[in-house]
Amino acid sequence: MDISKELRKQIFLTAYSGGVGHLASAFSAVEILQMLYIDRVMKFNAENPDWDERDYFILSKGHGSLVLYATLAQVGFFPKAELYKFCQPDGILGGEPNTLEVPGVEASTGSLGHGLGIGIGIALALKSYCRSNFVYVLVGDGECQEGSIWEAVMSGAAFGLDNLTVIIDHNRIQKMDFVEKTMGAARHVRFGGGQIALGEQFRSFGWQVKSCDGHDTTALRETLTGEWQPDKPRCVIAETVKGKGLSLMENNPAWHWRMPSKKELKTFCAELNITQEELDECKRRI
Amino acid sequence: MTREQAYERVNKVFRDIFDDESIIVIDTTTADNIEDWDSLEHINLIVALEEEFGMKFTMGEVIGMYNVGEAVDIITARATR
Amino acid sequence: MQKAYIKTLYDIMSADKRVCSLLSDSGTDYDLLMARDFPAQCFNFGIAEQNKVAVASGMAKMGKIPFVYTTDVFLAYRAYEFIRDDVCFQRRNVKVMGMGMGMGMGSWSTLGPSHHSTEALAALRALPSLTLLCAATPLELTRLVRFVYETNGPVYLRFGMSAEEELFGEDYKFELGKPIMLLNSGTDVTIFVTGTVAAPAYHAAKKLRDNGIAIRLYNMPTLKPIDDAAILDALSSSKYAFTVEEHSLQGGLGGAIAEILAEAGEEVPLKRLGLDNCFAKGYGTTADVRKLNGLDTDGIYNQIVNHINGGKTK
Repeated sequence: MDISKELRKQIFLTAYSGGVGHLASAFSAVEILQMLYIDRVMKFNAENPDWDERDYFILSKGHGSLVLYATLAQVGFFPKAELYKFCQPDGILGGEPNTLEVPGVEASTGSLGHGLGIGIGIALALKSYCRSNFVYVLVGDGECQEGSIWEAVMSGAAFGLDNLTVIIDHNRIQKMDFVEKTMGAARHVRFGGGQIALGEQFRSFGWQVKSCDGHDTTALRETLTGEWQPDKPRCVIAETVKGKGLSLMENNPAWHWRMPSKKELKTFCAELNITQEELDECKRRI
Repeated sequence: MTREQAYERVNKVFRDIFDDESIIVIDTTTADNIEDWDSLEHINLIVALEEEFGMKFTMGEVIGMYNVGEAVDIITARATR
Repeated sequence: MQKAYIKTLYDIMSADKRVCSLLSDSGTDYDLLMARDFPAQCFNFGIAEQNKVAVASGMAKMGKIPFVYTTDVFLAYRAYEFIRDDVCFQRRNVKVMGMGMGMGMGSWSTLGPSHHSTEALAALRALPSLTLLCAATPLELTRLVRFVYETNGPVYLRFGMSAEEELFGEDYKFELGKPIMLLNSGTDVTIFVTGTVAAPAYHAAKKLRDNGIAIRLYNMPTLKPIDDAAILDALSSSKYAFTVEEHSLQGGLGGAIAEILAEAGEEVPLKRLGLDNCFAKGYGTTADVRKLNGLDTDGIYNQIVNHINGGKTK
């Protein structure tokens, strides 16, 4: 069983145990977190989450918490058993990550457009301490509609933060509809909506921009660790599919915050090869 | 189109949406009679009925609909297929 | 309550083409259908709450009646200055609709404090020229949406998402500023509640009554402007007053009632129930999270009984 399939299975069972979850938002970012944590592009120490030589990861799209939890548990920040207390009164894992309660969560997020500013603060401090740790911030493409994101993008370039990398989860879908149909440039001129040039927007703000297949961990790693100029923050547009890994969810906005019906559950379990025992086990309350 | 003809096709749509060949809907059937028929499935059902009968429900009709009979009234009045 | 809201808004929009629905990627499937029926009156600005409140101010200046709808926290906190400067200060006829008030999003409360609007009243009560309302049930919401449409000027209406218990009948009558009687078994104890936590407060009040305590329970849909005289009248000959809200003890319903009592020199001791200088704890169903924070039926009941037995009387 390859790691990304195992993570997707773990994500689904975590949501299923609580009966709720933003599955599609988590499924679109699996390979991104797999590359950072499991392929160890990021420096971290699961036994000592506050290790001061660690790199920092912030999930600005907080509702994607399921993929962060599954990854953190996979590399040992907290016991996997905690996953099955997701969104339950006796658990520490909620729909939005809480830094005060969950080991490995660097910032509490949930309201969109906050995480990048927090990341800039960390990057600035690291520069002032002359430390070479990196800061990674995962931002949703719909999330880039918040003004606060662009305040942060402006300041990142102004301070020349080349220790900061924003990864855009470019899955092209937000809660109600496709991003292009919602706020695509010239949305009215061409019914199909204009191509959102997120990369151009970041570049025009003074960032270095690269893009790659957001579901290919090798491409992601090579992009992140490849050639970058100094004194300019970095932006990686990860081309992803919302709900990647479950045919019913892929590219369907209806799945933003929804759990499968009885009928859909059969397909989910078949595609993620989840057995009935595994379904029962994650519901069992200790 | 008679109500009986409409119901034949309405039942087909219900069975497909809820993946349950045993479903038989009548005028008084409501969401309480069918498991999984919650607000989310409601919209999928509406869109499926619209495609089957080539007509559109208004939002006011959809949100006010209490049982299947009300849907069939609108369908028999406005179906184009 | 989302359905009650959109059903009422649909009827209003059908009859009045000035009325528009302004979303920020915040709609349901019903909103998609509404946009199909009324394309010229439905606007989605993407995940940009500040912008859409400023837009609403501009549209209202031009005679439109914008209903600005999204999750309560994103309006009350993120767009607060836009509500203050662009709607209240310029007295624009903008209807701010905050969905998912308090700790619950319908039957679930799984997103934690980032989505809990438990300090919104404190923020909004001080805004000049703003009418501030909280709906407790779907039926009350339909009446309040009608009221805000018919009343010119800035208004902020907070309500729940889904699965709320209905406490009122068709005879429900709304009067701005006035408390609405929910239960009456005598005058010793008077309880005021606002918003969707009215249901557990109602069951707690029934339990108190059944245990021989003479109590009156009032629902407070209006947080501003409150009719002080009506409050003092509702409190007459009470030994204890309580307020219940899914909100900080500071600056909400409790704060409003305390201000009225103090200024009137009324000596009824007041005990405020709510969140005591803390973010709400825990995840689960809304009932779970209310229980964890002492705002479920038993939590409310016990706090009231313990306070009464504590003996501090007039």
